[in-house]
Amino acid sequence: MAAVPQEGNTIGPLTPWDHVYLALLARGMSRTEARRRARDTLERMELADYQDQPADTLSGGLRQRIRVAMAVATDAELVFLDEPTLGLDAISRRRVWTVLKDLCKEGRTILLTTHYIDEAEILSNKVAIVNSGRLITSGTPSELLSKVEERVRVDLSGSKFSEEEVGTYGRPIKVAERWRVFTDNVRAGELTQEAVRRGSEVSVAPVSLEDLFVELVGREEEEC
Amino acid sequence: MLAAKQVRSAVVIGYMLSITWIRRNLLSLVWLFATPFSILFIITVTTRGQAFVQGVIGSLLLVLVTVGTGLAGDGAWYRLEVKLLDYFIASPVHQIGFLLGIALAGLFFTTPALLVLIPLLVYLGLSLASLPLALLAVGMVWLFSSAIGYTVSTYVRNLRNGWQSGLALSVIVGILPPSFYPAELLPTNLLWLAYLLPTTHAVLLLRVLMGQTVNLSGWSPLLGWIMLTGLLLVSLFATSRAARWRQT
Repeated sequence: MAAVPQEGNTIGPLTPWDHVYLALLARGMSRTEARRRARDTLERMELADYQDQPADTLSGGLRQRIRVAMAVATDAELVFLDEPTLGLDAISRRRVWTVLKDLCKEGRTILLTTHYIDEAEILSNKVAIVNSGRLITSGTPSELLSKVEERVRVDLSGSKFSEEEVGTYGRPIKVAERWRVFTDNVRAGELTQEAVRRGSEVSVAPVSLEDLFVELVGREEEEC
Repeated sequence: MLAAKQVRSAVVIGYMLSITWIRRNLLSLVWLFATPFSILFIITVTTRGQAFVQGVIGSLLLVLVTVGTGLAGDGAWYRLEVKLLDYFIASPVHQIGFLLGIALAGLFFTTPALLVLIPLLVYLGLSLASLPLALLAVGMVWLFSSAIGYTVSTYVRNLRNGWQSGLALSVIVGILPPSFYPAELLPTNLLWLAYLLPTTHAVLLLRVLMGQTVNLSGWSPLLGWIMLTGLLLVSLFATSRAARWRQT
């Protein structure tokens, strides 16, 4: 097993190479294998250009990628990642996602905890939603999405529609100053046309795991 | 085989957290020189050189005690800030390998000070034949201090408490016992308290090994070795039982 704990840090002036290579040696890997894996992982994580720079001179995103690299470089069958992309910019997140997808293709199991629901949806074969230490539901992303009755969500700027009006098209919730309406494809089309006619900003998207999460966790908290 | 792997892991962890660090940050060596050599300087000046030998013995022990008890802070840093403890918990490295690794890291940090103090002891009268025994005695104090420091580190909740605990422990284990002054000057009841610390026995043993006379009724080199070994075993046992590893 290998792990990336949440919100850790790198070790002072040690370089990315020191972190990855020496951690592999400490785990008992041979020098040749450790060297090969360290080189390969630093390249995959796009850290090769920084491999000889002290970690305490690197950005927070690069340091986080070093920590992920320490676990990814191992030969562990199970890799546990606790919020691995926390604090990373969008490009770095996608870089980490690619590496994690590659690990899955190699047949390794990844257990990933995240608050980014899109991350869970994109990366996972199986998702478990946990609230306050209690498992609410689990399944493949498509299984979980099938639990939401509506297929589509329509986001509208709020001032041009009343709650009664949007309620005729589906199930509305207020998100900041916008209406989010969960509905089916036909009524989403009708609502979009009406929004365009009134000059309202509108966007349409499929229902996501985040919507399910908000619904399930919100319901749990109301019941509490 | 398993033990050999753990020793290898410990040496790599020790190297990773010290030699690699020192190579990239020489400033980190300064603090280990500062306190022991300052005390040695003060003692030498105030006794007009008469307590120089005692001062060198005390400095040697204080250096090792400081890095050992310093694990209270370093260990907390590895656990709370770097999360290195979590990384190694999820690896084939066992707790004893990790403890030995971070303790070795501390020891490697002391190398420059040891390279001054040990030859100085030989120059001041420690025979080369006695050197292995002297190193064994101070090594046991280092291991004792490291075990205690590490155990404390697994309990502290913030780094500041870690550093503070390490400093307090180094005063108790390294400065208060008769390492910088002759044990003969201690009142009897305090002497019995001092006997509960391995530093006292290591200092007395070093004095004997250097040909000095120890005038303490009830203490002998044999008793010193027994106490030193016993206290070390107790500290290692306590660490194995009390130090947190996989527990939350």
